[in-house]
Parts: sequence; structure tokens; C-alpha cells
Amino acid sequence: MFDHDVLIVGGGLAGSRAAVAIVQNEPGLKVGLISKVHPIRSHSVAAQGGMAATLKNVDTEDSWLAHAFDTVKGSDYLADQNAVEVLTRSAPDVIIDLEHLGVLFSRLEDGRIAQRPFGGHSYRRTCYAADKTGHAILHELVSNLFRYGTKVYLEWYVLQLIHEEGEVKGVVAYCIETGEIEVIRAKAVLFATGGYGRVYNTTSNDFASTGDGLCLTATAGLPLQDMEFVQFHPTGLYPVGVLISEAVRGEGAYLINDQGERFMANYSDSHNKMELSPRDITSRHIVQEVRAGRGIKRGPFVHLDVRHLGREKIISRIPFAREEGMRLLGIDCIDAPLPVRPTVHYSMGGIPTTVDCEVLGVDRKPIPGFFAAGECACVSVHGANRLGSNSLLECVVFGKRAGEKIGAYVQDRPMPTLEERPYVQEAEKLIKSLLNKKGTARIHDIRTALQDAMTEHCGIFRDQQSIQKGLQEVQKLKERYEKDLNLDDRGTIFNMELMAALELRSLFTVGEMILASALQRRESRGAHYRSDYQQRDDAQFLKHSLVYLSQDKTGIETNTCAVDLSLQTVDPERFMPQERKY
Amino acid sequence: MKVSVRIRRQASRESKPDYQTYSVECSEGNTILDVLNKIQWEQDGSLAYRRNCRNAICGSCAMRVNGRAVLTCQNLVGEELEDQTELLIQPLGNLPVIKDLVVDMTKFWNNLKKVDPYVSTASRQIPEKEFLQLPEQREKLQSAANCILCGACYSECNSAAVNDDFVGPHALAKAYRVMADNRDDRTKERIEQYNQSGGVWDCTRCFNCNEVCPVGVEPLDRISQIKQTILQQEKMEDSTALRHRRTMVELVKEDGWIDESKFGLKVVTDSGRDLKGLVSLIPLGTRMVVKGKMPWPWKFKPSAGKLEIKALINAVSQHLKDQGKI
Repeated sequence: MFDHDVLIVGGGLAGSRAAVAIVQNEPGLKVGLISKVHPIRSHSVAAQGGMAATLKNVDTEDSWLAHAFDTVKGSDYLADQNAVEVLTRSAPDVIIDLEHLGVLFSRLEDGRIAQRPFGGHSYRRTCYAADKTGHAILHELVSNLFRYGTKVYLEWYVLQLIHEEGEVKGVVAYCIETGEIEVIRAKAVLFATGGYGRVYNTTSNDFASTGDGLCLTATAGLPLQDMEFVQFHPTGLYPVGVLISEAVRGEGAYLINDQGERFMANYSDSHNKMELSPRDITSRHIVQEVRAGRGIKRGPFVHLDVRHLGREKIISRIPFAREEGMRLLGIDCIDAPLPVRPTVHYSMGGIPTTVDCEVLGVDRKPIPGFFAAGECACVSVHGANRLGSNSLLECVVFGKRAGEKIGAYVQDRPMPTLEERPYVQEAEKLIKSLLNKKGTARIHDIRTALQDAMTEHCGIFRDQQSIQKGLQEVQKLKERYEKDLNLDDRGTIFNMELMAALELRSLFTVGEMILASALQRRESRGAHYRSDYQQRDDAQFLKHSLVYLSQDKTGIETNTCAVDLSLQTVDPERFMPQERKY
Repeated sequence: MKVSVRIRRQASRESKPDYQTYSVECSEGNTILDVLNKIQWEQDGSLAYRRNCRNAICGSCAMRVNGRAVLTCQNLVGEELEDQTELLIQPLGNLPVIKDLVVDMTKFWNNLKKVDPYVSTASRQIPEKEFLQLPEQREKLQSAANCILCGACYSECNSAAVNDDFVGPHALAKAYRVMADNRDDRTKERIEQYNQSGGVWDCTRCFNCNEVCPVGVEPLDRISQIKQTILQQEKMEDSTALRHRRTMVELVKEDGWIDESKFGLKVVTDSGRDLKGLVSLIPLGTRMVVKGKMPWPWKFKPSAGKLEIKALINAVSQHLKDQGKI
């Protein structure tokens, strides 16, 4: 058994930022960070567009309250306004912190940090590093992890969250290289495990985004919040699904249908902001164009056109987008438009937390010893739809905040006591049972069937019938997994198939939670669009949804809780829910 | 089309490597990573390799394809098959294999740590706002900052292959990126640090790192930039590297080309003053005598054009002096 004062699960932006905050504030603490990939390979590294903050370097009349309003309106009023206040008020400081750590932001002529427009934001407030912002930030943060000598469990996978006697005491972990199983005990565990894009068949997310942290939390009997809100990014490169950054539209790209129209003008909720409307609305309109037969050559995609920006601007501002088109499709966007369609990008829902990153139980009370931050958490600053440039911001604001909170929290918390053996035995049994799977179905086939079912039945458009069909199909696939799975690799050295089998458990659990949440929300709000309930219904559903396993862990239960509307006292006119148009 | 893919397999660190050939249905526009995924998903789940973003930014999937390191999510089947009938896929070089195409990168990371790869502002007054950095100050860091730490350069590095102390092209590219950052306050220490054994002078300038880097870091150019910075220091302590450079010019000026016997003695032994250096030459000297490769001083003949060469060097020196560069 290993012991740490703090164990951080996940080494992306939120996890790394938390680790750095802890060592900077409390250098004496024993911090461990565990990740199934090297921290520098985490999906944060792929974030392109940028990070919003009212530095006022370009638009001097911008304010945190304007940023907060854009965020709340973008969220379709489901974001908790106290959390949005923390997010937007802290934003300038955390950007400056990162700059002082050495992050290479793009600059204005006078040397200050540059800022650009972004979808759903009413001012130019997105700070960026060309179109590789996540890369620029994560590399500096991980360098700082090296600097402070943080203990990193490299390529270890968490099998179980140890949650007993009402508190979290650590995790059970599996070393991918050697097959070793260890209990890691800690006074505080922080989940910074990212999203679950791999639940769907077309995603911008990396292979590791399998929602493991969400599954571990749900399996421990704890709730997940707002899981029906799955963000589809409008411009996934067709057919691969990798992202063409929203920065490309920020710089002025057009979305064009087969008739050569900028079709965003034809919809009442997007005719002003056009291509800079938020992601939920833009994604829906692309799918509507395709369904109406106006996809390019009647195909399932539209065009993203940047030719009018000119060669120089394309090369200096959006070089990565150009490189993606050339590498993956052989199309140079200087000369030709790029084919795009919506791709699963981000999870608004997740593990419910307070603004201090404490994880909340079914009874809405903090679980001692358990914290979450970043995409896996649901604070909630994004509500029903996240604005671009707010996710890196969330990771850094709440990663840092979690680090500060935990550093103080563990000072007078004793090391929890637990009996190690049963946990190790259970983990050994699980691994052994998977390694002994001798059916006929390949993991890839079951996984693909699951991803197709989720995409078909709980995608951009969904209704009661489709969701119920989805739940049935997931059940069947789970049975197939239990009864008929086959593994080629029965060893314990870097067994990728075993990892895939473990990750597939996460995909099943997260998929079911999404379906169950989507079923109970009989309205359309943000990214959740019910064809059978097309209006937003504030009277019934201006509430967060909660979803969790039943006591006996055989069924799924749902519940709701209130949304924080505290900014209404600051600015009642703007923060009262209104119809959402751009 | 059907493509034949030959993959180096190795069950564990201690196991003997072997080759296995797969036949894969794919198209020219598929990436090499697509091909590996197809094998693992459809044919053989036991194949191990690293991958993650499949978009050339996370750096996980560098491997050797047809004998040189590439990012497998970046290179296409069509390009790689140009003059081959078969794809050959092997793990990165210069690092021990854990399994199949997965290597142990511990040394790679440890070497990176050796250059203190973070911007240090500890001794500076931290302003309330951002440090200013002009677009042109940032621009000169861009190519080094593109690095995704994939290990392709390290895999092909000739110096890392034979010199256990060499930190590697990735670490030195990072070293340049932090050293040349106008916000960093440790420039002087860094210049001394990178001037040490294991640093920039241990690079053999073989150019492989520039050839294979998938994201345009061009580590050799960054190493050269560090060397230039070191050489521009007025009060550098005399070192083997500096003597190397100075002696080369002196000898060429004298005889038109290099008298190898003098060169070794002057550079490594500081003209006999460095006894440890002198002793270190004995094994090499002995081997050279045995192999008949010793450049005995009495066999040396100056170049026929030595006067012309001397005049050229003098003219260049004078020109640089006039411009205030030396």
C-alpha cells in the first residue's frame, strides 16, 4: 500500500494545475499524481482555440459581469451563477499566473497578451497561443511538475475509488506495464479525469477519453449531474472527426451549404451572430441542413470556408487547422473549403461539486476526502451548453482552487484507515476474469456497436422512443460483453486489450447515465434537444438532473436539484432566463 | 488495397524480438496509425503500441517506420509505400523496449529534467500584469516551442546511441526555448550548464534530428543557437569546446589545413597542461597506433595554398573586428 497526503487522478490541465498549486503553497505535502497516460499526452494538450478572460487588452469596456452573462446565456440558464462568478472573476488572475509560469501566449504589438473573438462571447477576450493553446499551457505546467519533483504514477489505471463509511480513502490502481495491483491511500483524492467523447462514434477526443472517472464515481454509489448535456462541436473534420478549432470561425470563416449559402442567416436564433453563434445552435443547424438535403453534394457534411481570409492570416492565425486539412484530407484551406460535420467534443455534465471542488453526494453534502475539477466535474459553470474558451479556463481556475483548498484541507485530516486485502483481492478477481474471457466477440465490435447506438439514439436530436431504444441496446451489449467477449492477449505486460476491456466498462456506465438523464428531461435546453419536447420549460426543468445507481446497484435512479441564480440580485434584467438568440 | 505490414514483436523486456507480418486492407490515405489500429482491433489484440490524440499533438505514437522515426498518426500509407512493397514498423531506437512497439522513455524524461526545462522568474520582480513579450521575441521561440516530446529525434540521435551522458536533441531544443525566453532570469547559469559535458558540444551534428522531427523543431538548429550564445560570451572559462574551435582556426591559419597530431594535444590536453586530458588520450592513441592510423607529426605536410588561406582568414578577422563582432 502506498500513502499520500493528496492523490490526483489525471494529469491534464486541471490535475497538473492542482498539483502545482499544492506544491507551491504547501511544499511539505506528499503529493501523488496517477495517470493512464503520461501527463503531457493528456487530452488538454489538444485544446486549440484559447482561454477567455477579461484582461481588457483589446476591448477595454469588457467586464467579468459581461463574461458571466455570456456564459450564463450560453448555458441556456442552467449554469450555477455563483460558480460562473468565481470562474469569470478569477479568469484574469489565472491567465497572468500562467504567463508568469512561462506560457507562450500570442502577443499584441506592444507585448501584452493578444485576445480574439470567440463564439457566444460578446467581446474579444480569448487569450491564445496560435491554435495550439492547450499544448502551450500543458507543456509549461508539466515542466513545473518536473521542477517540483511530484511523484507521478506513470501509466497506471485506477480500477476502483475506495468509498466506505461515507468518505473517500484512496484508490485501487493497476500498473499497465507490469500488472501490479496496489492500494493507494490518501487523505484527499482529486479526480481530474476528463471527458468521455469515446462513448460516441465521431469525436474530437483522444482515445483515452473514456469517462473512467465518471464511471468510478457512479460505481461507488455517488451521483453524476446533468449528464444529458453532450456538446457536439460544429466543425469536426469530415470524416475523421478531429477538430477544426472554433478559432477558425473566430477569425472569420464561413459555413456554407450545397447551394453556396451562409445558411446560419436562415435561422432566427443565429442570424445576427452567424458563424459565431454557440456550438449547440450551430451544430443543430448543420444537421438540419444535411437533413434537408443541403449537405455538400447531398452528403452528411457542409463546408467551412476560409479562403477569403487570405494566405497570410491563415498561416499566422490558424496554422494547425490548415495542417490538419492537408495531412488528413490533402486539402489546403487556402485554396479549397474544408468538409465539416458536428463531432462529440465536451461533457457539460459530470461529478457534482461545490465551488471549492468538494464532491457532493446524493444528499448534496460534501463527501469527506473527495474532490473533482475540470471536465469530469460539474460545478456547474457550463450548464446546458459550454462556450468555447471556457473549458481551459475552468480547468485552470478550478484546478488551482482545488489545489489551494486541498492543501489546507489535509492539514488536519488524519490518514484514513482501511483494510487493504479485500480491495486487492477484488481487483485481482476482476483482472483474472477479464483475462479469461474466451467468447467470440472482439472488443472493437462491441465498442463500435455501443458507440453507434449512442450516436443514433442519443445524439444531437433525441426523443423518448430513441432514448428507450438506446437503453435496450446498451443492455444487450452489456450482456454480450459479460457472456461472449474474447481477449487475444492474456498476459499482464502492457496489455492494451485488457485496458480496452476496462475502458469499455466505463463507456457502458457513462452511456447509460447519459440515456437515463436524457429520458427524464422532457424539454429542449442547450445541447439537449428533444424532438418530442422542442421548447425550453423553465417551470419544470430549470433544475440540474442527478443520476446514480440504486442502493442495490442494479438500477438507475434520477433526481433533481436547484440551480443557483445568485447573479440575479446583481443584475436582475440580464440574469433572468430569456429566450436565447444570437 | 491489401498492404503487407511487418512488425517487430517482443513479449517483454527480457524476451527475444521477432518479426510478424500482417496483411491489412487499407487505403493510401490512411495513416500508419490507422493501420496499426486495424491490426489490433480486427486481427491481433495482443499488439502493443502507444497512441492517443491521432492528431499530431500529443506525441504518443512515434515509432520507426521503414527504418526511421515518424509520428504514425501523421504519415500516410501512400507516402511510406512509395518505393517499398511492405511497411516495416519497429519501436523507437535508443530506448529499451517494454513490449512490441512500446519503449521505456524514463531516460528521455530524465534527460529533459537535466536542462531545467521551465522558465525561471524567481529573481525578477513579478508584475501584477503579464511580463511583456514582443511578437518578435516570441517568434524566435516558436520552432522550439512546437516540440511535442514524441522522442523521434532521440530515437535517431547518433550521439545518444554511443554517449550515455548526452541529454539529447529534445532536451536541448527545450533548453534553447527557455534560455532564449526574454522572461527567463537564468540565462547566465544556463549558458554555463549547457556548455558542460553532456550538453551542446556532445552533439555530433549528424542532422538526423532535423530530418525526422515531425513538427519542425529542427533541434540541430536550436543546438547551434545555444552554441552561438555560448561563444558570444566574453568571459567564458576556457573549455575543451572553446579550445576546439580556437585551435581549429589557429592550425588552419598556420598550415592551410589541420595537423591532427597537434589538434588532439592542444584541444584535449590544453597543450599538455591538462594531465587528466593527456591520460585520457592514451587508450585512443594506442588503438590508433595499432591500427596504423596515428597521424605522426613527421608525416604531416602543410597545404600548398597555406599562404592564400592565411590571408583569407586574416581578411575575415579584420572584417569582423571592423564591424565590432569580435
